Amino acid sequence: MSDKSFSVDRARAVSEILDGEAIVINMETGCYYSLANTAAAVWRLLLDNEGVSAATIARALAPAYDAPEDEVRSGVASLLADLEAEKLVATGAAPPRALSIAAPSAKQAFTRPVLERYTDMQNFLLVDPIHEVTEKGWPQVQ
Amino acid sequence: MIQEVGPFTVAALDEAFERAASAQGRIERTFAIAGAPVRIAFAGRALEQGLWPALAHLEQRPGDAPPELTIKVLDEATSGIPVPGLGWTDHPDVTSPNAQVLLKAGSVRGWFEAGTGQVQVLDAEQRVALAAYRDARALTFFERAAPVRMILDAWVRRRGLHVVHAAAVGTEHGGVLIPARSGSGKSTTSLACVEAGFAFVGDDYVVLEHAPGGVPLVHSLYATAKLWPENGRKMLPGLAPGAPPGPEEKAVYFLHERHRGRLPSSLPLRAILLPAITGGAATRIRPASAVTALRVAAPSSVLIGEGHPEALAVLAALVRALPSYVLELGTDLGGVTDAIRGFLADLATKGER
Repeated sequence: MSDKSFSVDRARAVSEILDGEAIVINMETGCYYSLANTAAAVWRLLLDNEGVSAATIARALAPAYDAPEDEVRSGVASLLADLEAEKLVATGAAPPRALSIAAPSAKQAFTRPVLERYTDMQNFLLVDPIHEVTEKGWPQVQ
Repeated sequence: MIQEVGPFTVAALDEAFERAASAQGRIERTFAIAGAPVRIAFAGRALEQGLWPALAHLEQRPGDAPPELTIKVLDEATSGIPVPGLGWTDHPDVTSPNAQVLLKAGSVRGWFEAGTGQVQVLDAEQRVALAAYRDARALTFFERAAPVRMILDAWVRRRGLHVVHAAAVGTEHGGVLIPARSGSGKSTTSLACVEAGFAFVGDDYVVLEHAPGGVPLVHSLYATAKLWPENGRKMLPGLAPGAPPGPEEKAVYFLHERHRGRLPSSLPLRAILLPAITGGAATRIRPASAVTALRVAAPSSVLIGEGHPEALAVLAALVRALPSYVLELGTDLGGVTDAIRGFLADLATKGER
């Protein structure tokens, strides 16, 4: 099991969580995403904690679900891999830690977390990168 | 302090404007956005004719208070005055004719479009902006429908308001915000509504004001709407666009003369409508979740221009404050406008109980 730690890449990704679903927008690529149910729970933990591993997240979430921790960890790891591929999270080395979250009142069925991706906004990015004036000045006018 | 922005020094643009205005005459108009007066000065009648109609519904008599922003507008071709920097095509990042380059220097921001040869510059601290075009007689349909948008967008945001990519129309019961992608029926709906006697605040860009706990307000920027010509001919055959659209251009409808009295500067918002084309004849309005509304509304408002990540939280607060509905659009446009009118009346009745 990888010791990679994950943190939300806050320079690229903005998000809101509403009614248990996260909407995430990648400011650089124009892709946007929906994370519901278990995926939203993972995203919430990532937002609230810097540098957490799949194992740490799974250990924190598993008590809420009616599934073995292995299954939860496999689902979490798969989601983290997708988030990393979409550049929504940055990675580093994981220091050992535990997270505690409130004990659930009743266990829910575990559904594998899914990252839903939308690409219809990509051609909306009309503007070239921001240019700051430097001492050297600008390219010459034709 | 006036600063350089790329090859466009504000001072040089200002000087070019004064020369153009001397040569062609200076036409000044005052208008207000969200209550704040803006003066726009055109060098020459061609620019005023091309750019003023979209803003005319917001006209005010100049008051005693100085304007909060003065926008000076000039072009090269009709004035005969060369505008420094409009020929700037050498930039390595300008990869397509439609590319916009965003320029920043201190408090000054500029937007340059290489293909059309236009630049807009805003010095918010000095309360002055300049817009320069290659030819006043060849303004793009986009610019005529939403003049000096980069300047007004940035200025509005500096005032703590938000620009949202959505339409907004309403009745005496208040307004609905209609955020949506191109092709979802947003513009056909907003045009059909104003033709049916609704108040019209905007078709593409509107200004949102939403204080925590307060009633969200939508303020008008432009009294124009754009439709692809074939949709315009099919859905609103009695309506003529402002000018014949060129190839690959949307038709622009100017509303300020035809719908005088139905173009308020603001409306309170009562609900969010998410249009969806069903193919059926009848229109239906059914509840939608707040998160669905956010997923539809946020991306284009967040990603437009240089990107506005803060818009996501603003729209999240809006979808928490207002109910959202899917507007299943039937092909009968009379049915669409009746449904929205009835919906707003019902909401008002429920609110009173």
